[in-house]
Amino acid sequence: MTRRTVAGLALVVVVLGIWEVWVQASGTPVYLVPAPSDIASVLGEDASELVPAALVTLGEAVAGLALGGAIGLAMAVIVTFWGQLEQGVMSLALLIKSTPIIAVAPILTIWMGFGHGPKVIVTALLTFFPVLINSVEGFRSVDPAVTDWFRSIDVPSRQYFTHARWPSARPFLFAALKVAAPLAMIGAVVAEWMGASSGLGRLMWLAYTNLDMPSLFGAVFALTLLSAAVYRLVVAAERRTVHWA
Amino acid sequence: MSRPIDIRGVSKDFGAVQALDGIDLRVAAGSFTAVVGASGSGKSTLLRLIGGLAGPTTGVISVGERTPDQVRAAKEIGWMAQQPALLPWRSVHDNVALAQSLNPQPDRQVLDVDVLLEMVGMGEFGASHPAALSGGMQQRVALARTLAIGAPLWLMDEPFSALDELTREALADDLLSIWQRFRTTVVWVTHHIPEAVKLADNVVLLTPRPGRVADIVEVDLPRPRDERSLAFQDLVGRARAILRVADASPLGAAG
Repeated sequence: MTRRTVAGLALVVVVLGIWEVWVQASGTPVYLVPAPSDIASVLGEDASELVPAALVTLGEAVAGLALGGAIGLAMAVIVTFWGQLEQGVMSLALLIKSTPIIAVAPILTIWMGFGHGPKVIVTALLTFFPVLINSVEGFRSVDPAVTDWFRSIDVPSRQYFTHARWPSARPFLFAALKVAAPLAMIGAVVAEWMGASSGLGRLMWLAYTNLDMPSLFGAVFALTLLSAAVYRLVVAAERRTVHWA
Repeated sequence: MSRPIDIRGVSKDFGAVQALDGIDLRVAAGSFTAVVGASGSGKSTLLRLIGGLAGPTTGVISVGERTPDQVRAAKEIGWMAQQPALLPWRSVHDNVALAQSLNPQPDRQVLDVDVLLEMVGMGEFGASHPAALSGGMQQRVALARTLAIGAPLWLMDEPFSALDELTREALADDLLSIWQRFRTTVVWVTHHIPEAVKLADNVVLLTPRPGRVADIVEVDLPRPRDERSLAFQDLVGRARAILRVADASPLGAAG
């Protein structure tokens, strides 16, 4: 373990310690703020419920991220190849991005039911925008000297895209994924709040309506851990594929 | 096959700024021509016009019987700039190989990538990535890439100006011996007069803003040239004097 990891873990332990002592000393009731020890025991007891729910949410988030990422990337490619469409595509993207998810999610649930569909769509709506913006920037980030070299041998734009634009955009894509991946988890959970038959969002909603704070906090902790793991995964993938940046 | 370059009445404006004005120049096939001028004399712009990377505002440029765009489309330009412009995600070998795979020229004899790297002194570094190399080594790789497609016209825009003096001299010597082997037509842009006199057959001197041909100094010294010789120093002095006058003249100082 590196010193940095140890320091990070130590900080978490200190924060949890202060929280525990504060709750115990002030006598705060568990239905308002549960102590970390209460949450830990719930995490242990409810593991059989939490793990499948977390997997459902993770699946929806990954599917939504894949869909949103693909749409964002496709729009960026269109804008790059056909510059005259940029204003139209970006206006449309901004319109979709500005629509409040909290209003869209219930409508999707009414239309599509309690299944995974609405969650995947909500997640895609949340994640396509950072991918689109970063991809467009990335495709344009080719070093002008590199562009000159490609132009000097009259390379067709498709090959220029493959050999210059796409690799140049990869660091930007990973920057987008680092924002979009945790966002995808939130998107899936928010959509589940609006009506779901499974998932962490549903567990949270059930706990909330029963004023079961330890379970609610337990589900939030599970979501946080999952988001952190997904983020780490993206960082690891970035290190492997963008070795030059 | 090397071709001559004909530049007739070429001007180039960037909005209200005139970069080049009435350039008339003929570059003989297989010759090494240096274009020298102060910053802002439009020498890089002239090179971009010859390479078809930009179009002139007025005037005509032809390479052999063709336009720069046609020459570019025929993959006959070996372009090298001040920045090595290597692709950082590709190894040294793959950077050079890409030039060949993007430009398959069945009728042209091209050298193997390993031979090219050996030629520029980078034979051992094929597997390295550009980030692991010094600036001079990166320019050596860029030179190998320029040679890779067997282009008969080399357009070089201050390719060694970002390097330290010793590296620069070594690279210039290597470039010269490689050029003597291929005898391509070379247009070499620089602001360094001794380098131009050392390498070129002709040194074209441009006035500053807008760039006009102030004079052309023919260098008829045998290669390799001794920079300490009187004849060499004399040519450098002449070129310098012409540029000084051009810089001070009302025409040259205008704009």
